[in-house]
Amino acid sequence: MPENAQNEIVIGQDNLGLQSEVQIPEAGHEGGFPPFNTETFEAQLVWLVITFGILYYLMSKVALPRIANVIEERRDRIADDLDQAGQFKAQTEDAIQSYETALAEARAKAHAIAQETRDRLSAETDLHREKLENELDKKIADAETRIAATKEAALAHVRGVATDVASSIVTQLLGEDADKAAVEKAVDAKLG
Amino acid sequence: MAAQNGQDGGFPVDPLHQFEITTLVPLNIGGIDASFTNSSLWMVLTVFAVTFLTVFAVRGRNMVPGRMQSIAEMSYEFVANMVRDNAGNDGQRYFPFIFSLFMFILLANFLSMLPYSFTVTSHIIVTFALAALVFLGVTVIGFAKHGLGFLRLFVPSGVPAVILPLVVAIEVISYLSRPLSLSVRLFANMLAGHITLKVFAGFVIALSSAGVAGIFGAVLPLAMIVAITALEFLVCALQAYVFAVLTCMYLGDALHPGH
Amino acid sequence: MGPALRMSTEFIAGVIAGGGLGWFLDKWFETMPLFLIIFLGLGTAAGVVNIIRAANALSTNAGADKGNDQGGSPPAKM
Repeated sequence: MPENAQNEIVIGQDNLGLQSEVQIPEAGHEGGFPPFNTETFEAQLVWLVITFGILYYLMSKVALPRIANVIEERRDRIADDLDQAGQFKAQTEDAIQSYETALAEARAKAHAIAQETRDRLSAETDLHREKLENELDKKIADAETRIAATKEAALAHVRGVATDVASSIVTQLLGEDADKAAVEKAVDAKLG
Repeated sequence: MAAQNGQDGGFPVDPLHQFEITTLVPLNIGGIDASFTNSSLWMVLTVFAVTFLTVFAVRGRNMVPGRMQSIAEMSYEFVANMVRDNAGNDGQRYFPFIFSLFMFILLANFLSMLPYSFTVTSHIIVTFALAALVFLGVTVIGFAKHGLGFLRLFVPSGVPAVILPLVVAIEVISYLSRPLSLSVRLFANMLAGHITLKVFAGFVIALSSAGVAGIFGAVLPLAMIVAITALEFLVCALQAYVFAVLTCMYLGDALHPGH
Repeated sequence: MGPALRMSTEFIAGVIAGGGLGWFLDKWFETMPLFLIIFLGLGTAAGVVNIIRAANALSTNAGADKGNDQGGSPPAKM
C-alpha cells in the first residue's frame, strides 16, 4: 500500500519535529509529552466515568429501545403489508378463477342451447317433412286410384263405342241390323 | 506557543500542543481533582453528538427514515450484527454497552477531526480506562458464567503435559496483554494521525510564508494534508470498529471459553 | 496506521504484560529480579503469540474481503 509508505515517511519526519519541539515545552511547561502527564489523569478519569456513564444510561434506557422499536415496527409493518399483498393476490386469483369457470359454464350453456335449438328445429323440420310426405303420398295414391277409375271408365266407354261402331259398320255393310249380342261378343273377343 | 516557536526559528506549529490539557473550570470534590478541562468538554460534546444522533434523530420514529434516522438505524444494525457475529446470541445482553463504547469512540474520533478540537482518545489514560473496563467486565462475566471453567480459556487442547505450564503462562500473559494492546492501539493511532496532520499543516505554513516559490512548494504538502485527512477519517472509523469488534471477541471468549 | 504499528502494539503489549506481572510477583515475594526476568521471557513469547494471532486474523480478514478491514467480521480470534 502506498499509504503505508507515506505514513512511514511521515512518522520519521514528525520524530524530527518532536525532538526540536519537545525541549521548548519542557522549558516552559511542567509536562513533557501531554498524554503521559499523570497530573491530568484524575480529572480525565472522573469525566470519562461521568460522560460514559451518562451515555450508557441514555443508550440503554432511551436510544436503543427506541431504535429497536422503530425497526421492529417497520419489520412488522412490512410483514403485514406483504401478507396483505399476498391476500390481495389470492383474491385476484380467485376472481380470475371464478371468471374463467363462469366463462366456461356460459360457453357450455350456449353450446347446449344451440344444440337444443338445432335439435328442436331439425325435429320440427323432420315432422313437417314427414307430414308433407304423407300428404303427398296420399295425394299420389288418390290420384292413382282416380286414374285407375278413369281408365276403367274409359275402357268401359271404349267397349260401348266399339260395339256401337261395330254395329253401325255391320249395319252399313249388311244393310240390316246386326245381332247385338254377337257384336258385343266379337268386340269383347277383340278387346281381350 | 505557535508565535513563540516561530521566533525561535523552529517549527511554526507545535504538533504536541493539540494534546495539551488545559483546565477550564477548576473543581475539587472530596479531594478528587474533577476539574472541567478541554478533554472533559470534548467528552461532553461527544455524548451530545451520540445522543443527537441516536435519540434526537429518531424522535419522529418515522416508518420511512430520514437521513439522520437512517444513520442511527444503520449504526444500530451494524453493532448488533457485530455483537451477534463475534459474541453469539447470548452476547446480545451486552449490546447496549458495546454500542455505547463504539459510538463514544467513533464520535470522539470524528469530532477530533474538527479544527481546534481536542482528541479525547489521544490520551492513554482514557483509552486504557475503556480497555480496562472491557477487560475487567469480560473477566467478571467469564467467571460468573463458568466459574473456574473459565480457566479452560488458558488451556489449549492437544498440548503435551510437559510444556503445558509454559503454554498456560504464555496464554495468561497474552490475556493480560489484551487491555494494553487494545488501549495502546487506539491511543497510538489517534496520536500519530493527529501529529501527522499537524506536521503537514506546519509544512504548508512554513513554505507558504517563504515567498512565491514557497507557495508552489506548499501545494504538495497541502495535497498531502487532504489525502491524509481522508485517511484519518478512515482510521477514526476503523479504530472505533477494531476496539468494538475486539471487545465483542473477548466477550465471546468469556461466554464460550471452550472454543 | 497500518499493520506494522498494529503488530508492534501486539508484541509490546505482551512484553509489558509479562514484565508487569513479573515485577508485581517480585514485589510480592521480594525476589526482585527473578520473576521479572522469567516473565519478561514469557511476555516476549506471549507477544509473539499475539503477533501470530493478529497476523492470522489480518490475513483471513484480508482474504475474506480484499483487505477492507471495515466490512465483515474477522473470523479468527485474537
